[in-house]
Amino acid sequence: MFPPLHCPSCRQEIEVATPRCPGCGFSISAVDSQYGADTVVLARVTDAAHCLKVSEKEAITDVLVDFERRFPQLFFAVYLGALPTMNNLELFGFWLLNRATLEAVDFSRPNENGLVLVVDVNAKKAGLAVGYYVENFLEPAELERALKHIGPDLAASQYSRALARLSADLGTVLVKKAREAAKNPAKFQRQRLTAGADFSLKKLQSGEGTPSAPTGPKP
Amino acid sequence: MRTRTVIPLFLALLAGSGVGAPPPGPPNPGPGNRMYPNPQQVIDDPLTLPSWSPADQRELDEGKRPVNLGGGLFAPELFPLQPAPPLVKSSPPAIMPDPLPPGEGVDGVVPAPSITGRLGDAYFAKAPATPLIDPQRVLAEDKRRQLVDFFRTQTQEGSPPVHLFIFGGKQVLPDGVNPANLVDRWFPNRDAVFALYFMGEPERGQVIFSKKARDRFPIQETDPVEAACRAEAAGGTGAVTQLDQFTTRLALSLHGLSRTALPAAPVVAEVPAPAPPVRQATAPVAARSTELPPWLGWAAGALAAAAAFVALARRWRSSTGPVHFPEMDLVSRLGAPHSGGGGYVLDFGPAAED
Repeated sequence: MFPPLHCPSCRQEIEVATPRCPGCGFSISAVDSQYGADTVVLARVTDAAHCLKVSEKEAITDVLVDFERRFPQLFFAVYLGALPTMNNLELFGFWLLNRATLEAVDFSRPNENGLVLVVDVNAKKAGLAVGYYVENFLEPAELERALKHIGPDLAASQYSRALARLSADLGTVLVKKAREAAKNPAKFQRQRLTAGADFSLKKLQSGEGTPSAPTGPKP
Repeated sequence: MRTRTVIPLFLALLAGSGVGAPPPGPPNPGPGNRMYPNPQQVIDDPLTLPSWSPADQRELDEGKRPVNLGGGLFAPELFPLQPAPPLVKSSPPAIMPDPLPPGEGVDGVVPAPSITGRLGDAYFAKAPATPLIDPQRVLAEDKRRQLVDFFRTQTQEGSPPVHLFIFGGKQVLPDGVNPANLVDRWFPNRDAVFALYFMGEPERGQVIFSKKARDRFPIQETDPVEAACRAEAAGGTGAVTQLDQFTTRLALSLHGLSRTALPAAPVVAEVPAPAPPVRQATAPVAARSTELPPWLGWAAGALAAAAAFVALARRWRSSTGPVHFPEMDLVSRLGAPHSGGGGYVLDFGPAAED
């Protein structure tokens, strides 16, 4: 049984393939209007806040490269910024993962296979956003546990140590889930693409308009 | 020295085998050709044989110089004289009582009035290592061998080892010798049965179990053995026949005991320990044949180590190698192409004030 999905804006529980939140009407267009609908280019480690030393940045990059070597289908990116009046960091992570292109990541790892850690160094908040594929294997409770584990390191501005710990924690969970998924893949198939579903990821990725109606199966 | 002796020998062998000989043709009359003399001349010349020098002849006659090895024809470096093998010691003679009394004339029985001195030591100085203790050679050699084989076979079939002491009919045990004490002292940790038999007097026969045997066999079954053996022997005629009946009854009784007894405890080292290894004496032949060869343990250990190594290598590889997930169908939500907002946000401290 999968945990329910929530709207990143109002936290209301939503359906698997709903085009907009039935409670607040949220959709990607809402954040596009705030941050822009164009594609942005990100590095593996984006230090918009300029709070990392070169050695720290290299250390974090090494951690992320190791993570990607360990999980050849996934990627991991980090964004550190001093965001102005950011009320909802989760929305920013949501937008970033949908609109960003990772320059150091090859095409075999689409954004739905990615994890992005967004750290607001001023607001002292850290958000971990995951793509459609990764959320099949990492539940919100596991993300919460991993983030809380690195909270002290983040508070002490020990970002490289925090990333190493986060990568290790998530890696442990992912290895376990990969073994389970190899034995029983259907257990992790949260969003099955049915024959009648006209709102599919492929259509969106090919630019075929906006979704019209939720037709996907319930979790 | 060696070169001078070996080269002519080698050349002579070559000449005899025809290797390097000149092609057949007319005889070579040349007087200076020493290698290939005129055959006819060789035939015509009288044959002169070497003769021994007087000194060598004397040594030969006295046996000091081996024949065919004393003339210096073979270099001692090539054919060293081998020392003669040492003479094999013959079996020790029988220990006879001192002085040797006249025989009784019954089946080789040699009477001896007292068992003292060397004879007493031969009987009671140390733990017996063979089934038959008969230093006086009271029994004939065939009978001795027959009894030894008989008791060894019984032992191999699981019966407790028997040590049969043979004495003359008129002999008595020396003062201070208690067979029950001896068997307990010599064999404190293993089964053993002492049987004392006085030729021609079966009623004096004794059957004594070691402490280990007494613990192993019930007393109600060990106690009647001696009486049964005596009674069986008393029914025979002739000293040797009585001995046969005594030993047969003893073997049968012990065989019956061994079938009903508890399994024998493992044998530990004994203090006197001149006896052969107990394991060989008590283990049945069939049991020994089913023992695994010792190399099998090593092979099994090596296989287990290899399997453990492979398992560890696989585990290490799975823990460090790439991890793959199965392919899955994905459906987007909220109009977002890659992520539906899944994630978590953490406050890790108070916000900094501008």
